[in-house]
Amino acid sequence: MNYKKTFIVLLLLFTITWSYSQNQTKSVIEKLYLNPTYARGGIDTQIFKSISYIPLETTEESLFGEIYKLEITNDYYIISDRSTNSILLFQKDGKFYTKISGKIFSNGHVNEEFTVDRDQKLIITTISSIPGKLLWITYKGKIVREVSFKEPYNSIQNTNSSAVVYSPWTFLAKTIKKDSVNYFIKYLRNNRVDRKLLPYEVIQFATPANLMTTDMPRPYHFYYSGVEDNLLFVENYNYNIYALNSVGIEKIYNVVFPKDLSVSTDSLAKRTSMEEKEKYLKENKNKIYTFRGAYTIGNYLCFETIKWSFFNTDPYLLYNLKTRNLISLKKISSSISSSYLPLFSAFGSIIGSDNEYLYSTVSSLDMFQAKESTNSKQPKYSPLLQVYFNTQSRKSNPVIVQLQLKDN
Amino acid sequence: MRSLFWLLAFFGVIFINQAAMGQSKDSTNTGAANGIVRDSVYNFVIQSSTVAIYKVKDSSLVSYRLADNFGEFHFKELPVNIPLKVIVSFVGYKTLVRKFIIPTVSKQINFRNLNLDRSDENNLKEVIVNATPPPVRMNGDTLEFNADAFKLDKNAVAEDLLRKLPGITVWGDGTITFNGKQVSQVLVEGKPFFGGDARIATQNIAKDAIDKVQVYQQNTDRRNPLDSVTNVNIKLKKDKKFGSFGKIAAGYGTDKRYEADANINYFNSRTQIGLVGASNNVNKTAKDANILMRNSTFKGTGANVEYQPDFSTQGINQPNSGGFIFQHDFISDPDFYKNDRLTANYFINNNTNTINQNSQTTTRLNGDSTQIQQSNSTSKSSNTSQNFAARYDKKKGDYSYYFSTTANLNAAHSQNSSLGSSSTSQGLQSKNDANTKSDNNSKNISFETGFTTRQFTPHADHPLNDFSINYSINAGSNNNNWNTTSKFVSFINPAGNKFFDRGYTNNNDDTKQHLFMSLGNLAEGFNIQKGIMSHVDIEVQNNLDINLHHEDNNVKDRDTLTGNYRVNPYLTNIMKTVVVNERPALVITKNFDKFFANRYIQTLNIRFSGEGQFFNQDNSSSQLFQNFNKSYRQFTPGAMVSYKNNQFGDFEDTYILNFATTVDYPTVQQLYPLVDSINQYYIQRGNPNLKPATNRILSFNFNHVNRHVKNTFNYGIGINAGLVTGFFADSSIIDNTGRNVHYVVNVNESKNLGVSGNLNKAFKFTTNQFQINLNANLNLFRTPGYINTQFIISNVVSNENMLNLYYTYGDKVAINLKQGYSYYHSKREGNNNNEFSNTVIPTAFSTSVNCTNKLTINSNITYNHTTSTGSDPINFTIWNASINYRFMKGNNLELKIAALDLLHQNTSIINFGNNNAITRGKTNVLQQYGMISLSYFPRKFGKTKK
Repeated sequence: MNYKKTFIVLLLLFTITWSYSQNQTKSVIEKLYLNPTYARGGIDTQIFKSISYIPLETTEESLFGEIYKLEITNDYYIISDRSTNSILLFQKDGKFYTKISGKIFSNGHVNEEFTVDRDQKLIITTISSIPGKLLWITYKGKIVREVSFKEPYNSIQNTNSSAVVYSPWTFLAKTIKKDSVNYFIKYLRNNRVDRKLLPYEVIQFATPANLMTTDMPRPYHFYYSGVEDNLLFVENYNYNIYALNSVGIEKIYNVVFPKDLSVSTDSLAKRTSMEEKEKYLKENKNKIYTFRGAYTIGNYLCFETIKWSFFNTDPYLLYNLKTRNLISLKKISSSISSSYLPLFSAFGSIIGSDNEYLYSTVSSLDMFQAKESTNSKQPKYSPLLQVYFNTQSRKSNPVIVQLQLKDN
Repeated sequence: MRSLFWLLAFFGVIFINQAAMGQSKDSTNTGAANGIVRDSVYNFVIQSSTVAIYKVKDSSLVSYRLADNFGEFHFKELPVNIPLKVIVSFVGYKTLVRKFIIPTVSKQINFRNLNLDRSDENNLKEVIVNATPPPVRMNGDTLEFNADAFKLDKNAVAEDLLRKLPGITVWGDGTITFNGKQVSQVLVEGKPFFGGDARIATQNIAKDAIDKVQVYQQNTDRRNPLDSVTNVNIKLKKDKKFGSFGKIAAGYGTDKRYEADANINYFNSRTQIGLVGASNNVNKTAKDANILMRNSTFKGTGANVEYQPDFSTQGINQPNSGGFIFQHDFISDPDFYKNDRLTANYFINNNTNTINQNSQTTTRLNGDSTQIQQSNSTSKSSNTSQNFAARYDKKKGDYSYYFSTTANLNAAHSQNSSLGSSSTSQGLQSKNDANTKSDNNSKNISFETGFTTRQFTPHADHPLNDFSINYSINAGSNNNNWNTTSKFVSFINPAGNKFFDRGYTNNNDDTKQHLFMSLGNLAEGFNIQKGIMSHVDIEVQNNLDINLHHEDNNVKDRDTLTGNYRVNPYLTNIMKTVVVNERPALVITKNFDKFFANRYIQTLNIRFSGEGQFFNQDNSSSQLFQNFNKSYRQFTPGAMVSYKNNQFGDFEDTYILNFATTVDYPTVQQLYPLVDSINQYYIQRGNPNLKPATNRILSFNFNHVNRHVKNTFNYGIGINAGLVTGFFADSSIIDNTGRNVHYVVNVNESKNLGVSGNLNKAFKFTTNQFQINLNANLNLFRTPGYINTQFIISNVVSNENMLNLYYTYGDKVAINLKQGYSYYHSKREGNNNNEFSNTVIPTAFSTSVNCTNKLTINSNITYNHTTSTGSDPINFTIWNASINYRFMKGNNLELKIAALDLLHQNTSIINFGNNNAITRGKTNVLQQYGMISLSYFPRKFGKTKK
């Protein structure tokens, strides 16, 4: 790059950053000093008010792999599944309601990254057989609205009926023009993108599509905690958590970890390609480099910490903003009240919230393995679970675990 | 997928709990103890923490567990009313010790919560406040067994320790498994130990030198975490990271039988060097230094029943051999992803072999006529071969390269005299008396290098991310001198009588070069994996072979009148052959994956390869008729469909259907040989019209691997069918004096079909192990040929089956029962049918009993039952027995008294059929002898404590 070009890029970035800072509401950023090593645990009943297992009905039509994304509405659990390339709706008691699969749209691929307009009772996603459109689909699978939408995204969320926010796909290096700039957050309103936030130099995050096959999690997710027009947004390669609504974003938390668990966000920012970032992360594999699955519920801020290493002793944290009590989900053990069954998958993560409950998922393989290994404890199962264990097998659909946190 | 991988690893640990150390049941062991291990400050249970119970009196380990998912532990069958202590430990925590007595009345104790305190706020390393280490613990993803926690005999080796560890099974056939999954390699300090054979490590390294035995899963393909291998690493104690061990043995027996072995090995943290030497006259031959090392282990001569003198070898062998093995690591912590290593080995083997053989070959001719050839031969040969190999490997990140070199020297001297005769129903046709002396010297040097790069994240700017190149050059010379006198007397036609006294000097020089290049991942690299091209991989390959052959043949015949040798102008020549085979290929692969989360992954891989072969053979010779240039162009397509069905936690099935094409090109010896008539019973002529033969092979393989952690059951089946067009068939013309002239002709089709199967089932009880292994194969060949211009087809059925039963009781008793059944049947289709069948049924029973840790008794009996067409069944039994006693404090000295072929029944029967001929006869073999031998095992790990 010659000096002239560098100057132009810097000027552009400065201008964007300046205009962006003008857009942001002035806010108080709370610094949270957290040490996951000293996160507490406990027996499930000490942490949760209630624990319910909701087996998702297994029929020939409803059989699916695992929950990729869960959206909770008043009437349904709406889940997307990559194995069957479909969006499935289950009633709140786990009974299968309906399935929206690629088959009904000329065998197109239904984008598993979907969102829900709860007021209108519509699912919003894209389908490969209807290219260049964002679709609003009824729970029965009928397309009722489509908007011209050509930019691939890796994360999408409905804020309210007036705006959808999405984060564009950052890879596909070949298509990138030198020095081009994109935004982590874009607002789609009235059929057009009317707002762009968090600019970045595209080349910094550009990698070929096959990086998807490596272990790097998909970045830049929006998380809905069950309060309308109120999302959490986590930025990659730093420890900031933003509140986001149909108007704009504000940085609300900056988490600080002990030095031995922290990556240098400056070092990461300096690495100008994903390959270099990946190399840095491999060298610092036991350090937290990003978050995922962020929700607020009651007094709690909940989020997952991501390391390059498979081994993360305390991946999912529940932080009580009032009592400053830090809990590690993995350190919570099940007891007789949860029939000694797992409270979450082997990686211990929360996949959804509706402002009253947190939700996790456990595969039937794990449920049956746990049942067999705890037979000696003679656990008592709820009638629903009794039916589940009597009629289902390791190959049945996963179970949703509904967890209600105690206030303190 | 990643979650499933660790889930499986986790259930492996759970199994450890279930399989944890058992105790002997006796009336006092009726107590129970339970509790929960917790971090009380941070209020959570500590899963996988180690809970071990010891006797207070002598600190002997009574039992241990890893705490379960709920931090809980439960012990049964503990001794009551005696002082015990429980020691609870976990990485990052102070070890907790609590003394207790289980009351006689209640017979149980509940510790409720055992709270551990963190060892250091800022340091997560384990602080051991108690000298007793935990027997087992989880350290990240590695399961670690602490050797000192297991009290064994003071002379125990690593294998004895492995047998004690829950989850680990050392099988009767030497296989090691962990939770049912085969251990792919046993490393010492993260490195292969003296060539990598597990037995050299496990049967030599003193248990007392071991700090930890680590078991971990290694993911060999970063893109597929489910494809992992299980490794065992033996970590040595800090002061035992160097040492020496070996064996010096000598024995003498009846009939002047003797044997002697020596093996001395030294290792330290970076370097390993081993020296071997052996000499005997009891048919114990070793091909390389590793075989000698494997059979010189400290433990190996105890309960092990292998490495007995070979009673089935023809003749008597007297091998003397020696060599070394060397390994040096330039980095201290090599692993699957990084490595910087130099290895070298050298082996010299001298063997003197004496064979006396009488045989009779019956050949069916056209019509009802039969030719019988009698042969009495005596041959003595001595052979000295020297092999040196060195290799340097470097692997770092996404690239790896290597250099390797080998040097082979061979010198052989042999002397052979044979008396043959040929007859038909009309009487004796001819006889031939031949004596041959030969000397052969050959030298061969090769060099090979290769470079591979494979990036997992190819960048659009660097599409050439999957690239391999290998080059090898092999230069050799072969010098042959031999002299044959041959006297052929025809009783039918005295004019056909021949007498030769011929001397040969042949010098051959060969240079073979091979260059392989491959460029893969092209579809992905050029970003064309779209639509129908999705999941398609395109690879271009090129193989280039350039072989130069130079031959200088000098043949002289003795003039019977003058007694001088004169140059034979026909057989003397200088010849040069240049063969270039250029083989470009295009390989297209398409993958289909069906992943159903938490249920299964099914992968279908379809691969097509098209290879063109441009073969050119240029021959120039001082014999004009040998000057030729032949070029061939061949297309050799290949295809493969493989399907893998991995049902998580249940089984894994693999199906492979493969089609391949290979081409055989005629050689100078088949096209334009110098016809040498010195052996009138076998004269090889050429066929200038010979065309290349194309072999098409279709094969199918199925394999089932059980993924259950206990009592695994694996089986597989393989079928292959081959069709050769333009088959190189033998055409022989046998005249009325018994002379036999052969040449090779193209015959349209030869067919073969093979079916093979295997089955492996294991049962493991507390101290007993039982293993069943069955291998079977059936092969059908349809081979065409000509005899005296008459077209014949030889149909051969060959079937081999072997059933193996292994039983071991701890390390005290090892029993192996073998039942074999092999069947051979050939039938010739022509104008008359000629049938031959042969059945061999061996039954073997071998047992080894370690009466005490000093005394071992071995015995093996093999009963052989052989039947064949036209002869009476032959039965004989070979019974060998030995008694070993170990002396000295460290069991370093062994006295062995062995009696071999106790029943004096060993006979070597020659009995085989070949297309249209049946050969029967007898040869000399090793027979009954007794031997007394003394072995000393010098061993030292680390410095001797003063």
